[in-house]
Amino acid sequence: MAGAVPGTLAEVREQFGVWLHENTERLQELCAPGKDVTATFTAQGELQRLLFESGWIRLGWPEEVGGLGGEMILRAVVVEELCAAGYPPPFSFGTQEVLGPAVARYAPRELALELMPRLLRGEEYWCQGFSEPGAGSDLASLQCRMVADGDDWVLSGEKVWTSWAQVADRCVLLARTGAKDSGFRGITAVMLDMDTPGIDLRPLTSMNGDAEFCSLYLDDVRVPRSRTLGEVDGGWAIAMTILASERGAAAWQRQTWMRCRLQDLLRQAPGLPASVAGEAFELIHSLRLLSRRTVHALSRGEDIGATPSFDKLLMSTAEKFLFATALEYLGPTLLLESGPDADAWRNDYLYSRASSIYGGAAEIQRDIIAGRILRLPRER
Amino acid sequence: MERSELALMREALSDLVLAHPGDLRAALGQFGWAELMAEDPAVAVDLLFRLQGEHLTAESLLDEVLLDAIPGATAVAVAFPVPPRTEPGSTYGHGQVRVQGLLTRPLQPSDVVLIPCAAVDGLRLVEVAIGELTQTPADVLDSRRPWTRLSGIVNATASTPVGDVNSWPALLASGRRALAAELLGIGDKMLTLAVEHTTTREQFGQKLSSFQVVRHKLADVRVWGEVADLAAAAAWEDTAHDPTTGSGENAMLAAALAKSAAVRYVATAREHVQQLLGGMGFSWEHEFHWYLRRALVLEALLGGATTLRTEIGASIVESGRLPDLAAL
Repeated sequence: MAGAVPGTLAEVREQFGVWLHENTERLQELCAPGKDVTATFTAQGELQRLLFESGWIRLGWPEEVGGLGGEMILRAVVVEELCAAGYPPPFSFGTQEVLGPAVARYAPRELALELMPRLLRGEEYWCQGFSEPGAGSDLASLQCRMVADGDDWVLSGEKVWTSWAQVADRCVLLARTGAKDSGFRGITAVMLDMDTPGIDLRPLTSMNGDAEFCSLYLDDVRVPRSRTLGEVDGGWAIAMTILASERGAAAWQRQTWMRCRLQDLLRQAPGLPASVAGEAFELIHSLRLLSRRTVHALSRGEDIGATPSFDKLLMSTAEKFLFATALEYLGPTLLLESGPDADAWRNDYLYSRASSIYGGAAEIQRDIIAGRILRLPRER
Repeated sequence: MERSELALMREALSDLVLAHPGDLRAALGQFGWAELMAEDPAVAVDLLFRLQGEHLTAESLLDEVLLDAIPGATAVAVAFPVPPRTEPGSTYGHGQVRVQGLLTRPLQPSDVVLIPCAAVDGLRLVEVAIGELTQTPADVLDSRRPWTRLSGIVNATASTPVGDVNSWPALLASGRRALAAELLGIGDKMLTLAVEHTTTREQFGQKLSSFQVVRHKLADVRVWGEVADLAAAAAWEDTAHDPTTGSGENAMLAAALAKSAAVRYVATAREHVQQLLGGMGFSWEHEFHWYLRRALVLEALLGGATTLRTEIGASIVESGRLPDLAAL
């Protein structure tokens, strides 16, 4: 970023476009597809660093945590333009949008100042320790115990579906500090360093063949109490902030990516009927309208209430439709061929099956809409 | 328009619609509809057409909204393509205008009607007097609006050309934006009926709304309502204060997307709401069927789901690129 920090969407769009053009070679190198998890994360880290050093992904983060200030929405343009130029946003961008705002808001000031710049710079990767074998959709029933011992917390329990824990440096983890049956009121969030003794990590291969997920076994793991995020027994608020970011702002990234994939499909499936292409576009556009509203509201610091549940439902509806369409019109490629394109379609199709499950299942979103938006009473 | 001003305007229009079930057009003329349209068409169309949907008005100002897009038009009505067609069924050629269209109401012989017609050199718009053209009542399904079919042959010399090559796309976009709003009014009403019913009626000793399957169906309707609402608003983005871009490609597409989303909303509502109303929703006595009837006609008018998606898809398949709609 040369000169003054751009303050408007149009300025960011224009200046970032120029920067993209000037850095084509380096970007193509970093975005070349690779199979190996470590190599992928290394390249992602470097891309993140490049974008951090040039200032682009520092837009919209407060200066004290390593940002350049300004509205959060400026960053959404960066991701969109990056994607439109053919560089799909790396997984770490999503993580940053999902976990960053909650940590910046709830972590003790010193901790936020220490850790946030590392996240933004791509020096660290963070994971999310929410789900447990016994607590999936019913997250508030989680039972991973956390008890105070002097200046430390001591953690014992099990976490599951933790994405990319094997490469993560830290974990935003929810644990039970209240009574067993205290529900959402007895949960506390902490920032756990992944190299702490007592963490046993086992990979869990997902159906697309990725070693994305992990099980975490925590056996008397000590975390300094200074690593508490927000209030003791107030972890639910942090969980809700994180889920809102995931359903809202990160959906904007997902939507830009789906637009790219639909364009790929138009190119690779010449037999795609116009009505099907039109419906795929309509659904992706619907998600775009919803998440555009959410991004604006979050950027202005407004309360978004339960509306991200709409975004999450549309996200899975659009994604499933798009890749079901790819399955139908690129059938032989997806089913039987090898090569980068075929691998990508196969992977994206299989991954799309999870889109209505992770981050709050579609049934949970419907429950939220029925209860909090339609206000349907539950009583008999 | 300020939020408080908007609320007042909505209230005033709502009162007017309720007070004038038989002469809405005349009452709106008195109210200053034309001025409101000139000042803020997005607000005018959105408010009025939602009310038309909610209250199942016999009269519709769809003609006025379309004609507003054609400078110099003297017609009082439009001969719409007979649904589910979106391209005109009327033709112009060999010295004749052969008319095949649908009117929102019967007209007087002296009235002038706008006929979009297919010609060898593309689409043209002409105005003709109703005169000897045949009008046939077509209010068989939606009998609360006096839909009328118009047919016959007029000598081309008796017709007056209006508009230019952009006029038909502009008409189509105007009509779709208005119909999207009217369908939203219908969808919202259907959802309200279902919420009222399921939160009061009990079966198996419980309110229907306490059953998860019921809650989820209503949530699904509500999701598409939210999408349709945003799409309807987004359809005005490129047209605001600039009628010339109102017929631009993106504005056309945004209008098609708005109607498509509204159709999805109402089609989902028709299905789920009727199911949840149970036998009551199948009775003549319950008002649901009137909304269903109106919805079926409006969904098809100027393009139903498949037609709209084909149109939207054709533009992106052809270019291989997605349009930059709804920028941040």
